[in-house]
Amino acid sequence: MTFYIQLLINGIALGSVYSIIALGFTLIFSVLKFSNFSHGGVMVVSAYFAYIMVNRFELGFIPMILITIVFGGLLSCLAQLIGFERLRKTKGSSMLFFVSSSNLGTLLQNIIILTFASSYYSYPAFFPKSFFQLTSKLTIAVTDVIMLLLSTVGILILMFILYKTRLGISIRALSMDSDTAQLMGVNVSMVMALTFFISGMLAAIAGILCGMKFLLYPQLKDLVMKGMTASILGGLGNISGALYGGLLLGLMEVFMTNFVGSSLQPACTFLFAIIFLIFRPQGISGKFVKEKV
Amino acid sequence: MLEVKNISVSYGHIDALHDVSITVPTGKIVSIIGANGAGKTSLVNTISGLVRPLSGTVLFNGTELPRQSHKIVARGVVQVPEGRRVFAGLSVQENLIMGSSQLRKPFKEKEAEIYALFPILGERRNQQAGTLSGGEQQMLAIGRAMMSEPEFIMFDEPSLGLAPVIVKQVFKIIKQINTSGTTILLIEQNARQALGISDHTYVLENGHIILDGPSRQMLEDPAVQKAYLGE
Repeated sequence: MTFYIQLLINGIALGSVYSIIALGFTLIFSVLKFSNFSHGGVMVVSAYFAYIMVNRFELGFIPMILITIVFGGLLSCLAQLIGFERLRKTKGSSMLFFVSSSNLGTLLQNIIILTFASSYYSYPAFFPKSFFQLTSKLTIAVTDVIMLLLSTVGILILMFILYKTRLGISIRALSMDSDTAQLMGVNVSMVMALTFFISGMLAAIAGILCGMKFLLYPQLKDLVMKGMTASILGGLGNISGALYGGLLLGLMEVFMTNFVGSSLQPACTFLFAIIFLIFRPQGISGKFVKEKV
Repeated sequence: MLEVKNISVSYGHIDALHDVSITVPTGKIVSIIGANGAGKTSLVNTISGLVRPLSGTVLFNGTELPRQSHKIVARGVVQVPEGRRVFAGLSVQENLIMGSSQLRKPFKEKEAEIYALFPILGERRNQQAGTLSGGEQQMLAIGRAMMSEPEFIMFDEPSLGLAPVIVKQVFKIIKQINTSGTTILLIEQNARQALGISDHTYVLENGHIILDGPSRQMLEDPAVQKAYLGE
């Protein structure tokens, strides 16, 4: 029994990171209706940025996180300005958005490879202990606790913004009908930029957490695929769906690793995801969204 | 006063509007009638800045309107779009918040005014807009447009898809909004209603203004009767 509780804890911790990735990814999908692969690029650059902040400037854990989150937001805004704003204004086809975002992602990843080479880095140990002993058999890693805490705080703040502030209502209105939002006097360019800023902040949190959980390496970018899988499981373009999808994916991975081993786990997880989508193609809490690319 | 001067609009190779000019004097109701595809919505969306014209200008109180939609709303020009287009997943109140981006006074104050005008919206303020009836959605669309305290409102097919008794109610509200000092441009397929309520009417056909005159005269015009009133 304790064994399964242990798996549950690990799964939820991993899932919360996937949720954070999925939320940032979904946010952009819901307002612009395209899959933003540059999200992974922002994640990886932010993760390395945090590394520099800690190693070169010797910032503590909390200041490092705060400054990296702002950095991620700005980077994401820059990506939007370069990659998407013109396309949006000229109502470019969604294929162009897709190409633009995946190229931006690759560009950001390669900037990291050029600067740091493709070797592995790791953050220094932020805390004296590496795990908490809950009972004699039950432990929880400090990184897992941090992951869970940071993700939860991030998600709560996001939900507050989306449902309680004018900006959030504008983001949701934009995701439903951006032309009408514009006609009613909403400054769409501004809301779009702020959406990318929020999405970038989530990417930065995700980048740091992945760097802590795994290691720092340029291929961290590809974890955006986990976010994408999670948001599809949850229902594309659906905010709460992204949250549940991430948790489900995390739990599946941890349990599968235990049942079939880590080499077969990705295949089994995807198989499960496919079977799940056969029976519930709209995802956990999704309505059908017309997918573009 | 709103003046549309020699506007031409085309989507790719399809011409939607051809050298269209109209004038809406302050405090009046002007209507534009015409069949489906005549270019009525293109005209409204051009004034709102959603469609960029090939040539021509739109003047409001003597100065040219800005290009971006939200700045046009800030100048006091807003539309109630065709098919209502309320944000179905947002609550009634959130829909009104979306209409108030360019409002210069406190939201609560204006919100109360709208609920006084449409008590049904007040009762349903926390309900999702998508669950309202067609008539209620039209009230919400009108209320949402009024949240920015416009001097000039364009109604695009306000009678579309509504029961006759609701249509009557909507036209009464339009008249009421006009009496309280707002200039109105009314786009309608329902020519009889439009001619009945407006001071001046333009007839749009295939992107051209083919006829215009005081509404009362138009009602008597045999050509208009034959083509648009089905007599």
